[in-house]
Amino acid sequence: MNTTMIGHLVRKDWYFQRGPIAAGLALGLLALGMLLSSSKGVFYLGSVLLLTVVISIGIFLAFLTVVQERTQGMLPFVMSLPIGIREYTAAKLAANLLLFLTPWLMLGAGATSVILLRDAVPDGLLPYTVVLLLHVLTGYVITLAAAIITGSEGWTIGVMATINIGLQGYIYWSARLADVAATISGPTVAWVPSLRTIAAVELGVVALVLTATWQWQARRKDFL
Amino acid sequence: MHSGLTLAKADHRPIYLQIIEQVHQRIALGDWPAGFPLPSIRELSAELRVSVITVKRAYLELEREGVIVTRQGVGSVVAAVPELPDRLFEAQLQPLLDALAHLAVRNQIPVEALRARLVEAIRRAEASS
Amino acid sequence: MNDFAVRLRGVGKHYPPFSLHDVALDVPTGSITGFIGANGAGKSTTIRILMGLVTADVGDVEVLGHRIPAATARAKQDIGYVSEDTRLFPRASLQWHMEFVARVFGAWDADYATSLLRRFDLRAEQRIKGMSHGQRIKAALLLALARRPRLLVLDEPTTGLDPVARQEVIGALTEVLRDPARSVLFSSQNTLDVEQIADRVSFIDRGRIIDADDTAAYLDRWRRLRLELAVPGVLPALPHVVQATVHGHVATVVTDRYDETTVDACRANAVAVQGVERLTLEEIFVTTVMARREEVAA
Repeated sequence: MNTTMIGHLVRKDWYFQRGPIAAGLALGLLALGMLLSSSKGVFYLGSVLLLTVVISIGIFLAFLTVVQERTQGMLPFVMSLPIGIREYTAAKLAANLLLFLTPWLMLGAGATSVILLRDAVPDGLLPYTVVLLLHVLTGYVITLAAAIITGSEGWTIGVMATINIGLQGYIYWSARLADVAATISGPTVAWVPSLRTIAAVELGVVALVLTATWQWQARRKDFL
Repeated sequence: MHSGLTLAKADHRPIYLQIIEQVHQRIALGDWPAGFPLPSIRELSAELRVSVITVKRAYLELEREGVIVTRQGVGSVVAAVPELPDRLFEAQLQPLLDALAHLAVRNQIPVEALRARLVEAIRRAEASS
Repeated sequence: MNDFAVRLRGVGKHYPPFSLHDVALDVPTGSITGFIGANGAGKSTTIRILMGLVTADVGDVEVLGHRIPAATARAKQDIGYVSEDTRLFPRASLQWHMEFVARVFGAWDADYATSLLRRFDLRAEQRIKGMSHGQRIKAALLLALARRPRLLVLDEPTTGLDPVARQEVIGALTEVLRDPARSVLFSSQNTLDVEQIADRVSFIDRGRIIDADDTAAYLDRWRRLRLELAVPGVLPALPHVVQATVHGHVATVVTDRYDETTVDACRANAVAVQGVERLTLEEIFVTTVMARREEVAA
């Protein structure tokens, strides 16, 4: 695999999305600032904002870099470069995952420090929050995979919408699992079995989807 | 090296014949004397915007006529044959005479009438030059 | 250096309802090959297959000595590809594209690029979004040409260009051939361009290669004969007749194997030859396709 080429492609995608990336970064930093506030309302808004930034900007960028490049017809030009499907796929995965993981990690770090450092917020919230973030990561990876594999606006939006609808349900359901509900408002960080299972499943799905995407692309006979 | 040859799109004769004709003309006029180097096949092809194979054909024909000489690695030059311009003129004249003769026979034009028309035509050509 | 820049043998691809059958295509190194076909005949599909963008179901594909699709990325290092559906990034300028291509390929002739900008009447600072269709095509061609690649693969490079731009592109393509190690494959509906600059031409119709030969050889062996028949309405059987029309004493016959024996054959059959005309590549192509369609229908 030609990593130099992958580097060129990744930088090209980041260059073209520098607007949304900068906006996402600015909003993310703003949200982090809000998380530091002592006001409960501002804190809540900050967390919602950061979660929104992580989910929507990530997906938006996946859409722009993958689906739009195809629908706007730039693929013949991109594929005239000295690259194979492997370099293309690796570049799309790298460019997008790196763009997603940055605010995602920021969110994770911010949420973790707020939960652990502030007395007003129960430490028991931490495992639930971490698993929620893993859930968001999994949803993103599935959407990115759909974008890369189908290259279709319709399919990608469909997958994205399905995952989004599921999110609310997941948040409700996971908080009410017996062992989770018992410790979520408590003072200790309790990695209960349900959360451990869910976390394992989420990570498993992420690995599976990424591998499946790679294999699928490698086997493609018609790229255009 | 710029040859200065030009091609006519509206002329339906094959391009290689046009090239041959123009090379003949330049030699007959003395612009391209004996030993004058012709552009390489690829150079002429790029200059005239025609396929290499077309230029190659023209050069092969010119060589067959003895008008140019091609040496491996050096290229093609105008042949050092004395009275080349006269030979070319002869090559032009004969087909025209033959065509004229055939036309006259087919249309049953008597020789005297043809001669009169030829004299008239020469007179017109002299007047316009 | 290989003898052939492109070699396709027995290539087949099925895209219901369309298929490519047993396609063979050769581009000898140092030559320009023209690829002529109607819309939907399979030109673009064949070109995509040799570029590794689409994988053939069957057959061998070799480009610049590399097997395709196994070594596509390496082959593309030396190929300049522009197709009818090539689109550049709208929000970037031509200058950005030039720098990007130079960085990615490593091969770029800046002086030549500057000269092409002038000849193609393009401004480097202009954004692709603001360019007309013709300017975008020229921009894409410039990006391919300025790299001086060993092989240029162009799908309809002059379609949609004004006459001046067309001449400049034709000029740029014949200039490529100054270097005998470089080759060009271009597909076109414009048979005039192919007739003018192609050393070889291949005809494709409905997914099959129907003929391939040196351009000069083609133009040499096809003729239209104007005949006067001895018996009105009766045209004797003549060899290698592709198309014939008869009205009373007058007949017109198109042959694809004209030589000294053709006129003799006519005389032997008491048919007078009034005229012998050459055909343009377009006439040859249309006649070939029509004849094939009649054959299939019959």
